Amino acid sequence: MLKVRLSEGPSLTKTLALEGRLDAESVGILDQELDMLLESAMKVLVFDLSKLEYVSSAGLRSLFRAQKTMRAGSGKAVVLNPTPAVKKVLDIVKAAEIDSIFTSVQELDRYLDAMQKKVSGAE
Amino acid sequence: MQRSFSFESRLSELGSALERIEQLLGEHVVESDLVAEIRLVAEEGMVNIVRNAYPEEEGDIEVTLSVNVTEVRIVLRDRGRPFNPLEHPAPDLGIAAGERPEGGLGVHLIRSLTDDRFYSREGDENVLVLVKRRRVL
Repeated sequence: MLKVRLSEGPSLTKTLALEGRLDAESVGILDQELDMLLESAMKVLVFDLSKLEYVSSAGLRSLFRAQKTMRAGSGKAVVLNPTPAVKKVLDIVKAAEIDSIFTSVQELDRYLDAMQKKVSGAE
Repeated sequence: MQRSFSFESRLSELGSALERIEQLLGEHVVESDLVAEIRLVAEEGMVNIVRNAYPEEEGDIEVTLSVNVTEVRIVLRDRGRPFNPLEHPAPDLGIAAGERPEGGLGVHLIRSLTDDRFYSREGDENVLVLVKRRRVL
């Protein structure tokens, strides 16, 4: 089964932590959450996959949909700390643009800081 | 070892069918990373049957699982309309993930995570065979 936990960070960053399995049966749980979330103001949507054991194509479609929607709104969807099994699947479908998979919270924070600086530097 | 079981071709039935496969593989001490990948390709095969072989009505999916020292083999049989998932063209992975049209992902995973795969139409049945080789020490 799938558990989804939402947390909000600074600078319009929101994190969805997924736990368990994201497959054809459980993807509806994520989709429900995403339907609401993707309508809210967000610059970065982080999928924290550190507790996700398994993802199949049904789950990947949801992740891609989120990525597409975020990009359309000039934001980004990124992945944090996928387990080896899940990372293997992401690599197979080439879901990873190099800067979009982070293996530690520190790495992600550095990235978000850098993004913040870029934005405020441009103003 | 060879075991067979059938289940109704519905997304809601997939979970218990996949659990059963995992359980049988566990009983035969199949390597856990292999078990996860077998579960994944079995799911992808089953979803394809539910969506494309039985798009409107329901039917049964028969699963036959064989385990020996060198390989794990899963055969999925259904009596739906003729449909060969392996014929689906590979998704264009050159397009950024979020921009790709949907479809083809499941088959791509099946191709990437199996060592051999075959489809045949036998009488009124679609037969999909998925093979994963085990690590030989």
